[in-house]
Amino acid sequence: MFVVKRILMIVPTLLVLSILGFMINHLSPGDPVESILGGYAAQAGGGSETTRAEQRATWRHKLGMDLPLFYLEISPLSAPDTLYKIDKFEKEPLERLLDQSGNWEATVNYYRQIDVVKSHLLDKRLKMVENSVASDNSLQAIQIIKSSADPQVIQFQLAELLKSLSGKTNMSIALEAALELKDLYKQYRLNTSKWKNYVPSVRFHGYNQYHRWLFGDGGENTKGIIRGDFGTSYTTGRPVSEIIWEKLFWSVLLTMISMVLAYAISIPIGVYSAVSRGKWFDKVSGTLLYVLYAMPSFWVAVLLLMGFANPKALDWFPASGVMPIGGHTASSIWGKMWQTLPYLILPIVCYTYGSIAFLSKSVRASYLDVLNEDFMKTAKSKGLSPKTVLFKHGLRNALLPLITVFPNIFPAAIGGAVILESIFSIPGMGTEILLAVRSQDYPIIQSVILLSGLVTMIGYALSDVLYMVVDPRINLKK
Amino acid sequence: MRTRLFILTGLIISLLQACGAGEEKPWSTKNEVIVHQIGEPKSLHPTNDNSGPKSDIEQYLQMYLLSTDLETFETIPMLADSLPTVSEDGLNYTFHLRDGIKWDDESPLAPEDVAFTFKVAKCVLVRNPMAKPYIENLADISIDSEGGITFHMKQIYIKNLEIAAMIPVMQRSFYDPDGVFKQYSVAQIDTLTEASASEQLQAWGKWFNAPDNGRNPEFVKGLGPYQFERWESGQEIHLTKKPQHWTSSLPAQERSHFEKAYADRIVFRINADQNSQLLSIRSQDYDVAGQLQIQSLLQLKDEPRFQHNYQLKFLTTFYQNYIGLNTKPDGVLHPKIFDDVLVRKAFSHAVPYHALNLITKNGMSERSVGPVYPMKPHFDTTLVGYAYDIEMANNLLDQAGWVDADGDFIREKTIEGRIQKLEFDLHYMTTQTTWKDMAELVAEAGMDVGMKINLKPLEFSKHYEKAMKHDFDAMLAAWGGGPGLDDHKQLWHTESWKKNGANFTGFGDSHTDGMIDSMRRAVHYDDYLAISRRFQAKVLDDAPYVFLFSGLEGVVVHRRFEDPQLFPFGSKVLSNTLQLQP
Repeated sequence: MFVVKRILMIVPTLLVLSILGFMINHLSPGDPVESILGGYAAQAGGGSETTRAEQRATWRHKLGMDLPLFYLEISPLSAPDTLYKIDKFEKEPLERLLDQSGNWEATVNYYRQIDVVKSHLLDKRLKMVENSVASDNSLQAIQIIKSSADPQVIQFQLAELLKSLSGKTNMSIALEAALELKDLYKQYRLNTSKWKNYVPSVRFHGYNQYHRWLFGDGGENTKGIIRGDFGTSYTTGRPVSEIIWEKLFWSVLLTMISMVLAYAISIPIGVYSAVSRGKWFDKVSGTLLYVLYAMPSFWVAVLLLMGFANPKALDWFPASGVMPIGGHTASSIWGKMWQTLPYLILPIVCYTYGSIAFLSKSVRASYLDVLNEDFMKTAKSKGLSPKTVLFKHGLRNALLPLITVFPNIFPAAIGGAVILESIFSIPGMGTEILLAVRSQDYPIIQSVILLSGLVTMIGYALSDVLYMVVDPRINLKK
Repeated sequence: MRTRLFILTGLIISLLQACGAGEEKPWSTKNEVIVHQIGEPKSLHPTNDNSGPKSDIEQYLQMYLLSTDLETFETIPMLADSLPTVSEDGLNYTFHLRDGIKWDDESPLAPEDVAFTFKVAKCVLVRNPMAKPYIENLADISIDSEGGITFHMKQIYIKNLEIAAMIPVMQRSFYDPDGVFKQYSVAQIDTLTEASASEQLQAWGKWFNAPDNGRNPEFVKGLGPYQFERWESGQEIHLTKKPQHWTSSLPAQERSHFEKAYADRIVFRINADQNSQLLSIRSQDYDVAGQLQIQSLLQLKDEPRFQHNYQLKFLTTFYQNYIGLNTKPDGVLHPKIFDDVLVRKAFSHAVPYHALNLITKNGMSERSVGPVYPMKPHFDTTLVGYAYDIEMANNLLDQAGWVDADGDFIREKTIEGRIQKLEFDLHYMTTQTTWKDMAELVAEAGMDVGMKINLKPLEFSKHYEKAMKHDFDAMLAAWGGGPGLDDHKQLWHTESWKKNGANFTGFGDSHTDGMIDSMRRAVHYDDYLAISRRFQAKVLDDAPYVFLFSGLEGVVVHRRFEDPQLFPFGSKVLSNTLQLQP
């Protein structure tokens, strides 16, 4: 019953985590549509503005960015319920203007008129030679007006705009539009209802970006993570699940090997340190372990590389990768593993030494408590060998702190070790996450957050069960 | 216990032997080239990716109608038998294909393959949004009875020809076995929408765009001398020489750089870490490395072992960094400082170029003076950049009316009735420490002429977002480019400033816009050249940017190959042309 309860508790926790991960990603700077379309480099690179706008609209739809963000939307009463449909390039200045007025209608009327003036000014007829200076100055002014919400800036630039257009031939239409713009700005400033900005309006959107991420859009672009579809990478276009599966192997392998090694080494060290408390072994191992624990892994990684993968020092290990250059020459699985082993030794050392230090100290501390227990004295007085006393009777009772550490293995395997994988060029999750963060590949980042959360929770549930197995006195049912 | 120890010692010794303990490697005699890459491409799909690493690999797999001469940067024919004939109105380009070009299945390259390629590239269902704007100007393609392929363009554009060097020619029978595209012309494909596409076309699009295609050797096929063999994700990409290639019958001297295939195999080894790159070079793991950091190369170049194994050359690249100045500030949030050309020129004189190069670039950069890279044929060699001259900078600021009246070592000026200090923000990116070092040196130099420069570090996307919205006073950043004629519209046209494009500084007026438009519409190169020279002079005189440096990049090639030819762009070395020393 306890296990069932424990598993059921995962669901709401995971839900909260998914919302947090989703929100953090959507609040990060940058625009995924821009990165898909080739970003700043491709902008105006020969294509027309219409093509760009059409492509932005298409991709916004494909990525679900034309939907509201979440089920519940709390926004000022002044904002319309369809604000989310507007592309961010237009939405941001509109929101800034609305903040100062609270009157959506007046804001939109003023903002639309900016585009009317701009289109008149961009009209080829106005770019005739005699009007070129006027056109340049006025276009500069209208551009600043469009990007600003500061009343001082707008009023100053409106005056500049009118000054540059007044009295110029062929500029009468633009001048009329500019005068109307001035009038609309005046109305925007006068007809304010700022109170609406302080009254929250709660709206419910059944179908939104989060919902789409969870449940899909009917299979048109995504099936939703609930059906195992973690989406598609923005940068490669490949399914996220496929990428994660591909990269997970090396991260899991290295984490597991290092944890097995860490436990295998640290338990005997911890036990002997406790038994020989205050003696030379305890002192030396204690000092060494503290030194090890204090050394950052990226620094140790570089030291190891320079010391053991360097023809100028010891050229014992390869410097990067997980397989020989040009690929494996062995055909059997064992042959391949043997060829890969030298590539894994330095990374495993780096993955492991920190855990050894931490675990040894934990084992030592818990053993010191156990050593003075009556059952240990009884075992000794029964004439059992010291090995049996220490490892059969003592170890089981000293395991609890190690179980507490155990769940941390799982997120480490999913997340990989970002810095270590980069240094050793290991194609694992750490390297992938680094690339995803750099390229704002949200589907990958969100999936990793979710999976890490899931396995951490499974790990903790498992450790709770292990507590009971190791120490039957612990009764979590109560 | 002793037995266990013995076994353990034996295992350790054999492991160290497997690692090659203590051995100095002799030169490999394998006829393969191991190329270092700092990152892997997103895909090798013929159309659906344009990432940098892809082109480094694709150049051995694919071929184009036209190409770029790696030495002169001129456009040259590749699959076409010559450069196209251009109609009088400058809108139609007619190509003829070279004889004897065959696909891997021995079928000849046909004009229909070329038309098919551009139908695919323009098709709304194909996921190549980054490429579509560049081919938007292509209206249609027609094929005459003599095999002439005519590209009909929507308008005259100086870079129209480059379309033919952009997309690799694809085999119609392989990529469209059911002939779905046969019923459409390029013009019809151009007007197609996702909704109006037939079910058959939709199904084809789904198959063609499948994400794994770009990593599938069975899907990535081309006319190049190598074929894609396998991809070890995050580790290696292997190409092998085609056993039969249409160029093998050509005499060696008639084969262009891209048609040669001396190495049996080209392996791209991915490694992004600077330390392990350096060690891999010391261990002779790579034959070619063109993306190593300057610091690593400077460290390696004096080592006898490196000198024995590798040759190292430095090349100027199509990359330059700059300080952009907001020439059209709003006057409120951003003070009117750099709207005055005298202040811009003064700032250009106040930058200690030599010290910047020495301190932040290890002296491995060349001064740049304008919008055109010095290696390009249309670069105006008579232009001289602004020299570091404090006296001149001070004089110019005096002339502009900026004086230090209150004795706080910062100049000020009364603008529209208000006293404005000569104080502004300099934005720089947090991506590399070099940016910070450069910004600090510039800020220090500013104090010498009475400018107070406040440094603002920004994350990459925020930095560019602010630049595009003109929300800056001065910004430190960089451009990358390539060979070929420059279309200055993106970076220099006022429309690009007005539309929040890449003309960050607001440079330009109707006059310069006219120059840019005329260059874009030039039919003859000489016309383009004349306007380009005037334009370069105008930009230099207007000083909207402080042009800093074009970076040098080092290329390392193993000496087991004969002296290689190096090129200042792309992969810098063509691995297919490397021949083992006899």
